[in-house]
Amino acid sequence: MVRKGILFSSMALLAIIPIILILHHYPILVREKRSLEVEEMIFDQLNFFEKNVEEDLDRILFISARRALIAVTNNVIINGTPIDDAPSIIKELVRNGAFQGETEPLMEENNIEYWYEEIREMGELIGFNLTLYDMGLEVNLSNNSMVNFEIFTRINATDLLNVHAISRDSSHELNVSIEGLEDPTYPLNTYGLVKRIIYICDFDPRARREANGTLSSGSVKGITVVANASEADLIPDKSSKILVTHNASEVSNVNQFLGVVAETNDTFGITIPYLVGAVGAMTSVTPGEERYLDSATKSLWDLTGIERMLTEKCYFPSRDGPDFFQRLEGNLFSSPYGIESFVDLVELSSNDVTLKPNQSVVDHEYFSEESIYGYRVRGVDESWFRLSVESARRYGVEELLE
Amino acid sequence: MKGVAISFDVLFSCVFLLMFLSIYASSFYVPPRFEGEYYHSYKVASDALMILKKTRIYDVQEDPTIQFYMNNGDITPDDMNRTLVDLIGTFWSENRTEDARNVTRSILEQLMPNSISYGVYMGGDVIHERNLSFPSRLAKSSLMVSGYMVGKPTRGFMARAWLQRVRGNETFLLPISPAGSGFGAFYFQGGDFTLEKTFEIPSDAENISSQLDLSVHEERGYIHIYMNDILQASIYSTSTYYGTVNINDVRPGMNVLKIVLERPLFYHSHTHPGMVLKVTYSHEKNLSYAEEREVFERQELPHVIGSPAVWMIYPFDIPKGSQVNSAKLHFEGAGVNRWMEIWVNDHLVYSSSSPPSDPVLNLDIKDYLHLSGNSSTGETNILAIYLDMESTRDRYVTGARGTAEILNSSYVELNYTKPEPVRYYGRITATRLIPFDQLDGQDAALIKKMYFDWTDFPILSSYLHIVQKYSWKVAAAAWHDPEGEPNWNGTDWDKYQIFKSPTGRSVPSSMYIPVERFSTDTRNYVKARDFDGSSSNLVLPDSFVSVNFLVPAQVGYGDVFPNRTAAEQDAIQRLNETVRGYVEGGEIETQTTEIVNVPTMWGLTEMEVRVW
Repeated sequence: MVRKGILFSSMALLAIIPIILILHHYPILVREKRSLEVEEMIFDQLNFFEKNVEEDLDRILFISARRALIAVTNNVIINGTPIDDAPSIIKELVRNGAFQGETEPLMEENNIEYWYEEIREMGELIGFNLTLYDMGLEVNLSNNSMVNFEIFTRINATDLLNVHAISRDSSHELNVSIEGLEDPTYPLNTYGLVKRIIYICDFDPRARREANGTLSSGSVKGITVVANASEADLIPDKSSKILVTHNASEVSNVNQFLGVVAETNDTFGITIPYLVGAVGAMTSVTPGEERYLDSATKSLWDLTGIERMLTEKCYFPSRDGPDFFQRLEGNLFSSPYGIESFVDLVELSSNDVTLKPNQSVVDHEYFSEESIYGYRVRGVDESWFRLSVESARRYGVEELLE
Repeated sequence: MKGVAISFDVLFSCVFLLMFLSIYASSFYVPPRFEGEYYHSYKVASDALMILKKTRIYDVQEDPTIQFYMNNGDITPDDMNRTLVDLIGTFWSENRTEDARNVTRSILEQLMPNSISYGVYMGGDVIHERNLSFPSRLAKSSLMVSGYMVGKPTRGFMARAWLQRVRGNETFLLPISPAGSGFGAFYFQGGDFTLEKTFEIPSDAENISSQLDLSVHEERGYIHIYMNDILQASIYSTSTYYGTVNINDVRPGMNVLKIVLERPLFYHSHTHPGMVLKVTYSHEKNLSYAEEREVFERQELPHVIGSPAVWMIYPFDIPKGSQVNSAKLHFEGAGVNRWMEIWVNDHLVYSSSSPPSDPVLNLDIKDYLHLSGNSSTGETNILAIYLDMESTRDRYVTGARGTAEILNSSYVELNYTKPEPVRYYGRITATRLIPFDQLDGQDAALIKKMYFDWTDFPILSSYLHIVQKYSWKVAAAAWHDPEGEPNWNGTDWDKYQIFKSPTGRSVPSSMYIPVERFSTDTRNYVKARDFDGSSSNLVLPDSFVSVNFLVPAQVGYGDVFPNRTAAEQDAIQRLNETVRGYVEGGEIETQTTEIVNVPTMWGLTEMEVRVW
């Protein structure tokens, strides 16, 4: 009986030992699991925080970069004094919000140094130590209308106990458009009386020759209408239109038109300005557009690009013009990322700015200290519009100079 | 039975042991279910925040709420790449919490498990909450974003403004420096003394008002004041006279001021320091100011007629540091009988005891100017002309008779090159007259000091205008804090001296003060004293300093506003505040230009998702 009892007791003990072991180790296992989950959460949050800082850096770089461009333009225009080194001054504005050592109101609380401090304090509130190192800032033109900003940083983030840490070097880059900013060239050269906002023309302003003929008489500017002889008679307002047709002599009332362009050479009975022998004109000429029929070049010209550039006061990318930085520096020399516009002499005159007679109206030529002779361009309505030979070549109107 | 009993004992023991161990184990940890739920809640919060952060409007454009805002124009095609955080942040910053809530609820309600409570908060404000239970445990995940603040536009308009046309007040000063008949030329020997000075007022001038500060010595005789040959006032004087006369007939264009001092009963007629014609008018101002580097200047002398002799001092100045290329005097006189002297500063440049009766002289006076090397020291130069009287004697020369004249075809011609020509644009000129009585009160004194603070606009030029009833020689100094006050060493101010009379009675009605003598940060002082003469040669408190300065006619970009109109109005208001007092209201034409899409680093703001 005793043996049986011992046997039962032993069995009971053997059965109970694993349970005891499990009960003994379970709290340890749970503790370890809990610890891992907490660690994961802390690290997860730290990682999230660091990424969050980087993402916000993108945002603040855009904010400070855009504002820096506004601020530097504003200072040049208000002071009437060009700056020496535009990229360096823009960097200073982005970094610490100062313009040539003086606090710039437009950049207060909108610069990188301010943001560093703000985000460091915010990190402490959340429970992380954050150190940001400025490893460099580059400001360059990336094309005719974009300024490229690239900032290099090192971010060190730790929890308050310094158990978890993240250190990461990164660079952040963005392009900020100069469109919508003022061009300092105009106020600097007009005693602040004339302004010009930079917009890149969303069209090609260069002139196009739409038709080239063998014989021409008279020059005229009007709206094109493409029609064969039978359709031509039905066209209303003939006196404002340039008819483009196959054979002008076959059109019964051809002389009621402002001018005529014909594919054949037949000029019998034509008394209005004409261009004949323009093979393929009925397909190459765009109907419904204003065109200039020029007898000297025996061509039909599309000058609407130049006219639009004049009226819309937009800028055309040009390697002969100064870029945005040069304009801030009062430098009118050429740049690979140059832009140029046409000076509106009527606007200058109405603002009591003394005009330079016979000067080319391309901005860097007009405001040049040198005398750059400009020639009238046939077909452009504005009598004051003048281009130098070089500029005329760029805009495709060299043959129209007079 | 015993075995069974032992087994039961063991079993009981084990059960007790297990119970003990269970109690022991439970004392070491919080129930695992709580930890797990917290972890789960945290993950849900993180995921929700990540969804808001990563999801672009384009991704959820089918959502009815998003479609609603697309249809009403709040969301434009340009916004499709913006994130939901950006959209919610923008609504929140515009105080449109209801719209922020709509978007948040619409996106998250579809995604969050039904059983949990959660909330989205921005800058501590509740954006949206689903409150199913009391938060016994709470997990949160947060995101920092710049560029948002309640009541502040995330992107907006900035404007600058400038005056396009402006009619503004202008103050024109015409100082008349001492001149007179020969001393001793009273009733029986002399005649009237006449001084005429031509000056020009802009042709578009309106609302002209003027006043003559009359400072003369006329012993028992009348003083007649004419403007353009129209009598303005006749004043009987018994001795020295200082007072103001209203002048009514100044007109746009050329004007002539004429002062006639009647033949005196005693002593001799002459003008004293402090005679200044002050003309104020409004006209269309230039909005730019540009000096030439090289200056050619011809200053016409007044026409002065004395009997039987005549004398005159005439001050002229060249800005400090300017390279003087040439300085010439062209002199034309009439009615000279016996004597003639011309001085520049303390140099006798011409003298003759038998001059021609109508002398015409051309003299190179450059070497006699106040120069350091070839450049101007900035001190006012004094030209002194004596006809039929000696400079060193107090009376006309024997043999003088009739009238002697200094003709206004005489002139001083200067050619100099400025070191830094002032070139401002977008500014208008203004003048301020600062009286002397601020510091010393109303008492006349042999030594007078004044001060003024100047904090606003760039100074173009400044002059000291000393008023005296009796005078001999004056020395003046100008300084600013923390420069120490100069001391009188018996002959000069020991530092900062800006003028010293070269001879007796050489006290002009205007003395040039170099611009660099003044500070825009600290207090400025001017001090003048009469010396080597009588103790009654007092400097009157009516003395003043005139400051010509430039007022900005434009303001730069200001704050960011949600719309163009507000930005423009702000710019115009700032401009009006800047030019107020210098231009007349209602005659300002302004222009503005705006910049759109100006971002601002409002915040930082914390966006939170809490789950419980």
